Order: sequence, then C-alpha cells, then structure tokens
Amino acid sequence: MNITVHTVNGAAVVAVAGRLTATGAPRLRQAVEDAVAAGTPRIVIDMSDTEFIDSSGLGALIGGLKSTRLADGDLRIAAVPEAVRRVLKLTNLDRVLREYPSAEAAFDGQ
Amino acid sequence: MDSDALASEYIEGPADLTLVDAVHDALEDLWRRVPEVSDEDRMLFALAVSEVATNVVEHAEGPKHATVTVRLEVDAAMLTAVMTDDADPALIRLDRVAMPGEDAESGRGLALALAALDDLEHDPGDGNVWRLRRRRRDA
Repeated sequence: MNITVHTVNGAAVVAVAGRLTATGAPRLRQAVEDAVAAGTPRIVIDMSDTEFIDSSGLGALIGGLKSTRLADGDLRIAAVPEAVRRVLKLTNLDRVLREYPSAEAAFDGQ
Repeated sequence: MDSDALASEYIEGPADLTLVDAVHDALEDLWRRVPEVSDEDRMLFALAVSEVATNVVEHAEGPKHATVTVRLEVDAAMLTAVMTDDADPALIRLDRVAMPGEDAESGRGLALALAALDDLEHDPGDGNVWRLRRRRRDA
C-alpha cells in the first residue's frame, strides 16, 4: 500500500493506492492524525487506486472520521471502487462514510 | 493437492503481519492460474482470507514465535483455505460473532468473514485450525 497526501481547496487529500489491510492501516491512521495536527481537519480519502479494503482498513477510516470531527472537520471518501463499496455495505458503514465522485468534489459545498 | 483441484498455493511463515500481504499475493497468483473465477468470488474470498489471517496473527503474536501455515485451493465448485498455527488456542465463539455498531474501530473481521463465506470453522486444539469455504457462484 502506498499513501500520498496533497492539499486541494484547504482539504487534505490522502490517496491510498493498493490494498488497505492491517499492514497499511496504521500508516493511514498516522497520515490522518498528521493532517489534523497540521490544522487540516477536512480530509478526503481518495480511493481511486484502492484495490481492496478489509476491517482493519475500515477501522482506520472510522478512527479518522472521529478524530477529524473532534477537530471540527470531517473525513469523506471519494472515487470509491466497487470492491470497497461492497465491504462498506456489508458493514453498514455506507451510512456513515459519505461517498463523493472525486476528491475535488468532496468538499465543494463544504 | 486434491486430484480435482485446479490450482493451490501453500504458505508457511512466522505469525506477523507480513502474512497478510503474503496471502493476498498468493491469491493473486491463484487467480492468474484460474482466471475464470469471477470478480465477486475473488473479492469476497480474499476478504474472508484477509480477515482470518489478520485474526490468526493478532492472536498468535507474542513471545512464543508461532508459525502459521496457509493452504489455498480452487476447484471447479469451491474456493477453500485452511490456516493452522501452533499458538495458544483462541477463545472464539463463531456463533456469537455479530457486526458491531457504526462507531466501532475494530471487531468487524470475523463478521465479514462469515458474511463472505458459506462455511467457516475454527478448530482449537494443539494450536488453531481454520477452514474457510466459499462456493463459486460462477460455477
């Protein structure tokens, strides 16, 4: 798994490429914590190159959602592939993690 | 290998998180060798294998340096995985596994594995044996 972070319109875009499992989940948690600590609590997880997610990856997303909201921000997911969407539905997390078509669109209307 | 298996993979190694990457790599090798397995069957079986492998590693990590074996197999009708370890037997009641609430940051793994499989067995004894089976919907 590979993580890259850049900023778009004041939001941190965290792009996750590859498989988001227990191996990489701690690095995603760290990237989110770093962005919040740097004063960017509005975070988009760009999943356009995310090949796979399991419960460890979901745990990192939920942890990130909580920490961004504590900092008056939000965590949103964008460009979600079908393999990820299926796991979100199986866990009912599609109700709490709102999906946006692209990282650029995620904070368009704030 | 069973006589009717189309392809199989075997992994053996220490109980640490590199095992999770290793089983995913092995699954990708399997799909390359049996490309007719559908995307849905691949994804859901990989999900279950990933969850159980993570669970095995998390239970087995410690001073005992447990060893894990994983056997993955595809036949015309079924996707099968068998994982063994020589760690302490895990105290898990699969009949009590339920999907946790939306706020939970952990505890979804075995619930997802059960949802993705037709059959999941955990056999504690001298270590642990996990048997995972998903009937191929494309078969």
